[in-house]
Amino acid sequence: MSPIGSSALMGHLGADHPLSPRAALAQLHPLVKGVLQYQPAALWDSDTARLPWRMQAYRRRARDFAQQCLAPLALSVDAEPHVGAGALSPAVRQVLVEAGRQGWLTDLLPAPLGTSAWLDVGYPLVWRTCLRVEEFARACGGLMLLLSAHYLGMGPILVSGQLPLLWQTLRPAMQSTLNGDPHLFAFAITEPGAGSDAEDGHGAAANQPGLRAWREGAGWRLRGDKVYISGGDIARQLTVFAALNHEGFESWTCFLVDADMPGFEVLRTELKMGMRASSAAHLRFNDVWVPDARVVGGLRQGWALNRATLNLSRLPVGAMAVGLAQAAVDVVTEFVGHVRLGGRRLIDHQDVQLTVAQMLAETSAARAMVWQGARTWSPRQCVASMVKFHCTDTAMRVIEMGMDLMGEHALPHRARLEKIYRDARLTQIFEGTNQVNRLSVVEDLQEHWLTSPLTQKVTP
Amino acid sequence: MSSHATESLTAQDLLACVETLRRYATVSLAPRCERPEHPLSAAALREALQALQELGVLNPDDLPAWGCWDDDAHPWVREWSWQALKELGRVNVGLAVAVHMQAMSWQLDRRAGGAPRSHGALVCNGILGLGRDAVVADVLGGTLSDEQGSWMADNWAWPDPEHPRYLYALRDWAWVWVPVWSRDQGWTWCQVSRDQCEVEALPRAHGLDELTLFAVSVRAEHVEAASQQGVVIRGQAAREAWVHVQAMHAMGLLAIGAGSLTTAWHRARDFAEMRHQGGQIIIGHAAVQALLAEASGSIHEAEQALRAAVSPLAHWPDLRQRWTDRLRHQANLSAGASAALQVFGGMGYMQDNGMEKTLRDLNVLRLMGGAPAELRMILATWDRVQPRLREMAP
Repeated sequence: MSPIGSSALMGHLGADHPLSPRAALAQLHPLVKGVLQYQPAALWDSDTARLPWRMQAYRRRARDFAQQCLAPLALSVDAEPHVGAGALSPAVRQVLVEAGRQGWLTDLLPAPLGTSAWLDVGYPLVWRTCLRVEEFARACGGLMLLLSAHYLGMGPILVSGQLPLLWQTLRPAMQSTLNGDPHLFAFAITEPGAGSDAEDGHGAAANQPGLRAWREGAGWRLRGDKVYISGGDIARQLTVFAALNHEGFESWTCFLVDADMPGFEVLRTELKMGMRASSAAHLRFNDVWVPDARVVGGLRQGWALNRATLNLSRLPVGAMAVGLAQAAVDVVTEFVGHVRLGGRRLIDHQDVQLTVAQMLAETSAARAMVWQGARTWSPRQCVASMVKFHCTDTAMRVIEMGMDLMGEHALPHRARLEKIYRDARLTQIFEGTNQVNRLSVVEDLQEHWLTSPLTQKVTP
Repeated sequence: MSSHATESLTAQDLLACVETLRRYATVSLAPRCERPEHPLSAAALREALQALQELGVLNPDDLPAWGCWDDDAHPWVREWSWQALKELGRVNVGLAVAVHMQAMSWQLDRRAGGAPRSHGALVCNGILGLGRDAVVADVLGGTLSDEQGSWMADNWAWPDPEHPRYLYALRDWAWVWVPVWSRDQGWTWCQVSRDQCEVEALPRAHGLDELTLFAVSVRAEHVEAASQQGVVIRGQAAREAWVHVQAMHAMGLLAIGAGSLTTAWHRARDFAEMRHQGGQIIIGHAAVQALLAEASGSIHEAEQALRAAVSPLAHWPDLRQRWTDRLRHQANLSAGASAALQVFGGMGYMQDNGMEKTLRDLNVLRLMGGAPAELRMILATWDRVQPRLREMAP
């Protein structure tokens, strides 16, 4: 149902007016009318109806879960005092347990490794992820990240293609999660001295990784720190990237580390601006010994796993931003629909209508970009990066437009919009800053440009 | 500040005052604000306000003198006011806003013929901002249409629990100036005591962590008493006070924002000259240079607007120009803070880094004195209405 109500807004004709588009379409020839006429519906419903049937059902399920389990907790979880590393508030724990029971922590793959329906397997993994992430982010950015960082942690295991490893890790994790004991993963690449360099080839070539691994027995010893690791303190297993001793980023290797391995330590979790339901942990590896069997994808394959994982994960960051922008649209639409001054609702003013329409258009365009980029099994680096930086910048613009419309009413925590702003600001930073993502587009397209006949015409 | 107090001032006096304040801010205040994740306590803020009185930044005396916003019509006082607010904004935006609001509140106390009251506060906005296009017709002295009058009457009505006004203040405020507007009386400023109000503290507001955001309404049974027996400014004097308050507010928020972003920009630049990524210190990257330029550019533009506002040749209060400056530059300061945060990457998102606090604070400044969307409409109306009124003038 429309949050605004009433049959017509000021400056517009009601649907029952003979000159309204709705009435006009009803006058068309029956043959044409069957094609061109449509029933008024929320944009979300008409967007959903354009998806394949299985994806429609998936999107609706994601929204139902988000509405029922995430949205009611969004403000209270954000306002909770900072809990210590490894601790979870009862409300957040309950979200994890319920998400696990409903299969939202295990539906990357179908049985026997996950809970995804086999009929869904025909649709690209990243597409489903984007649909889910948008709905979760619309309800609460922090809880969305809590649930999504887990999939990021599983990324290198999936990308490794090692079936035995998948069987040994994902199956028991799934069983534990479905039984009400969520088994979470985390993805650990960022280091104190290598934020963007872990996300960019040119930077990596000129930097030296801090976390190092050296051979010992039938395994490897890890020493060093990782920072800002989403969910790193509550994960049971972490995909950790380390360089082999005396080598650079090209030797990066992914190790699957259990949180109970001797030497693994969570130093602290950060006090963040937003996305507070999800932790960002500083991890220390004090000579953690990892057996050979826990090397993910093979030695010196870490950089490949990292880049492949980022190609898969940057599109969902775009979807997060779309969800947060949509949340802003929803908050603002409700506000301008019910605030009444001088005998008119705010939405009855043309300038307000223009702004709301702009917010909606920018959000819809960003969503279209995400869906277009995600409808593939092999997301291209330049596309993933363009989606990431463009959609996150768009979301911030949309949210700021909403704050400008609401003025001081946007400032109280209970108004939700300021939280949406704080949550969304992270999307311009993580998974590579938006600046690094722009360079990532160029990195991917340079071969094409350099071999293009156009670039061969050198002008002196 | 009375004219006799300001006539004897020289530029050297002013520079000396700014230097003294800077020293106080650097030596005494800054160390207490080093942990952005732990905002200054209310007691510390009160202590700082007291110290700023002793330094002459705030003037609690019955007669106007050399205090912030004591006599905004005087260019030297405007110069000193924005310089002082900028210096304070460099260290702590919450404190700077507290000083700014206190100073404006005391000016209203004097306009009402009374002595400045301690623990005073001030509401500058109506229920929803400034009153859109309707307020322009009123400020310019034109005739309000029925719809404009209705809007003004609703927006600037006595705040009730359904339609409160927002107030950023120290948590122990005792008095608040509330502007109200009605068709028959026009503007009235009423000073209302806290016990005459319904007050709801709104925790975890977007920024200004040192202050508290309140939703304030006046109990119906006290409206009569507040408007008839309390401290009140009425009629043309009330309208004039409203215009001056909005002009000071626009200028003060811009100065505080420029100060805050100056600190953020310095920190971002220092970090960029030290941080190594992509094979070099990051200030060598065009991406980082662009971010820093966005921040420094918005500071310079805001300061230029502020300097123009204190020229002896400048019209004052010239609310149209003040709102134009605000529209053009306050949002840019927010964008500059976001750019400065981005230089730090993930570190900038953490509360102990301080950049995220700066960004939240500047967002609040962007919204609390009339938001950009509304200002655009106001200025468009101004340009439409003013020439018409001039033509109609005898």
